[in-house]
Amino acid sequence: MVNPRPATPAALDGLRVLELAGMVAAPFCGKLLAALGADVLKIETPMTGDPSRRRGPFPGDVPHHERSGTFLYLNTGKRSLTLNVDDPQGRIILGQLASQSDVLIHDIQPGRAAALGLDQEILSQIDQDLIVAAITPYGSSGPNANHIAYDINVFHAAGEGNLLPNGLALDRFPDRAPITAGSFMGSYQGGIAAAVGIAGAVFAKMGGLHGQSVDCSIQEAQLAIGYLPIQRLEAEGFVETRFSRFFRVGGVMPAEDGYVELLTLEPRQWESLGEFLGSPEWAAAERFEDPAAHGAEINRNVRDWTGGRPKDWLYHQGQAQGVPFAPYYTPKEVFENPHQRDRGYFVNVDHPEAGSYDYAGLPFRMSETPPSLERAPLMGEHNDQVLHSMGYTPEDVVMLARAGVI
Amino acid sequence: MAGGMAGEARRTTGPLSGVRVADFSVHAAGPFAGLMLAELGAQVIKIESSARLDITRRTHTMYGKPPSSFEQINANKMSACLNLKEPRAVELALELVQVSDLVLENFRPGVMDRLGLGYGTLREVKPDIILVSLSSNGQTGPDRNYAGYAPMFAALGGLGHLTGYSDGPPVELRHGMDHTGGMLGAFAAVAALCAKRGNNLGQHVDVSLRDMGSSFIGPALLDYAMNGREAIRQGNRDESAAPQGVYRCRGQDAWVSISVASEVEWQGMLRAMGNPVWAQGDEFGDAFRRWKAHDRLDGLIDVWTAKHTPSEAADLLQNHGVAAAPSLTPDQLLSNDHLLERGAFPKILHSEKGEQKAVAPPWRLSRTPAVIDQWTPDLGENNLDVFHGILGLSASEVKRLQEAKVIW
Repeated sequence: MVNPRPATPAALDGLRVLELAGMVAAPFCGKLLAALGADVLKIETPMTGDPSRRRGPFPGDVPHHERSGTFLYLNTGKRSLTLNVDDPQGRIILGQLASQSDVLIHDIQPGRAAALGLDQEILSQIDQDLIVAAITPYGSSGPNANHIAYDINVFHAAGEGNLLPNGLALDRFPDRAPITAGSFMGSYQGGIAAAVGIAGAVFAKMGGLHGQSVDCSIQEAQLAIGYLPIQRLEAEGFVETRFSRFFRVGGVMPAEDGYVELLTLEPRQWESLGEFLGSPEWAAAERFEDPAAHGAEINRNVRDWTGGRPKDWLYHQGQAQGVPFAPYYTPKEVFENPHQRDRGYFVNVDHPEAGSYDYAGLPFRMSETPPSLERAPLMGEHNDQVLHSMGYTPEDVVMLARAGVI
Repeated sequence: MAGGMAGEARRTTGPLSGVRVADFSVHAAGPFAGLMLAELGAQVIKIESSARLDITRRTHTMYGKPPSSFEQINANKMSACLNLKEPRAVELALELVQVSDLVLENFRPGVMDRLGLGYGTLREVKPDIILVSLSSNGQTGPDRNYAGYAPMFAALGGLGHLTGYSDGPPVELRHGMDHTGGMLGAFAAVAALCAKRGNNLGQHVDVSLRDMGSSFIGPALLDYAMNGREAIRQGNRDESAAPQGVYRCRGQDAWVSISVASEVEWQGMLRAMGNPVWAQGDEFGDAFRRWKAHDRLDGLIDVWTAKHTPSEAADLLQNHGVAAAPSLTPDQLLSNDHLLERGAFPKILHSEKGEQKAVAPPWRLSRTPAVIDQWTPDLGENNLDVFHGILGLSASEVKRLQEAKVIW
């Protein structure tokens, strides 16, 4: 590993993972495994690398493939090997690496995976103990398996896209297209779901079972997460749309300096809200019991009231009085937030090319095997280390580079 | 009897078969984590009580009558009742912990301690127990005791700010945030199970759903750290692709998503559209120009998509190597060829409603398949299985404790 790990044990110490993937979904999965101590070796295309290296943001807005925030964030704790898997020798090296790994994660759709020799049949011959996880938009089978798709396409093919922006569609934008969650949320969901399945297969392997294939469809991950409209239709015959899906009381409210979310789901919270508002007649507790009749009026009045107050005041004063308010924080407000700072959520990471910044940390803690965040690798940073350990001589490595294999 | 597991039967197919989970969680995020573990083969025992019914068990002003749409959230689990206000119930809970591998909860921080089920106590009765706690703000920090629901995690974490039309307010991210938090909790849980299997380690896992919201905007937070720039929501657009959007199609409220991330894909899109005259010149000749003229370009694309249904447009574009997909409604999902062929909606027999479709687990594991095969059990359906079958109480003692409102 590049960086010395902390002295404490990690949950996945000793797990060897090969990652042949780009952008968000599968790399986020690899990042989670790396944070838990797995040795994740990322395979990147020579010269270009992971497409996220070109995405930015870049320090000072100067594009540079070693300074892209998207790459730096999604590839913490990994090693990097550049390898042309379309080259015959490249595929041999990939096969050798796979035979020394516990898990191969890739995001290659089945048509191309088969062409690369990545289908399970071939890989299972390499090593009965390998776990092969394919994290692809539509999974490894079915009529759409080879459909080209980006984050936005999967998000709309999985159902949640059609339901956003919820009731705003009705209130403000009846004629506009449904939207996509920001910041590639659906891809992160796909990556986390895949990590659950992979960890399960690792657990089974630790218990003495062989490896196996784990077919992770990002569409199905989002569908599993967003199962509720499917169940409402199946069980109640109700077809949810973005025009019908909204909280009749509460929701997004304006504040003096932005927006807040207000959600009163329980009777005691309505009562608290009424008191918080100064007990006006329109917010009497019984009015909340018939949201269809009174919700619109309550919301209209609440908006007038919150609109003149700062969001952090609404948040802290509201919560102190039992009213569930939450501010819509901007990136700056998240970055400087006292709560997450107090939790040590942000982690300073120093990178030889990009510099030193506070990164968003891991969203969970483990008391005995704490996850850790270490810097992302330079492109091909570990070529020599990896190839030498496989028995290639320094001269071989030069030849492999000249031949465009690495 | 809605579903439920007979006797002490363990699930046999998934990678976690043999693992036992005591699931004290309520509402959405925690139960979803338990559902994922149950789909992976763990024996998940939902501990609940008539003294305080889970929100998914009761009539609710916001959600309506006890909705059958909540059949999935506690599927594959057993249900055992314990009224934790009773000391004997807490004792039984601890006995169950002694024979479990993992405990799941999503109360506000401190509640488990007040119930007499804090991590220290659990560890005393079972040194290698794993306690997975899901919460809005985490177990530490000044806001730890604040209430939170799904859209609030997204708001606090910064993800809400980045979702919505560029000229509109931020958008609520709904139950998906709870369930994604549950998915994350399931990951941390299985990782902790690996550490336990490898090193006999028990531990306390603290999953913060607000932190999760922030972890989804890592690059935007780095943009602020690097450049002091504040990213803002931008509807369906993304700087990596132009054009990208959701376009109006022929039919009622019908839409197709399209994303063009390379010159090759743009050329494919032009062919799919029949090489329109408006694209002959240089106006949209590279990604930069297309990004700068995105509004105008969207209008031109809308004219083409409006002539086609979403699936016609998507098929045409896919045939030319362009990323496109219909924006599917719930009914379209349930009849989608691809999802049906993949078995995404397995049917499960419901004792009262007959066969009902569920949503499949999001993994196809070749050796240890994950399954969903039993609907949410009735409240206390497995009282006898758990207290008699697993803990060894006599059937008459179970009955006595039910009458005493301990098992209740």
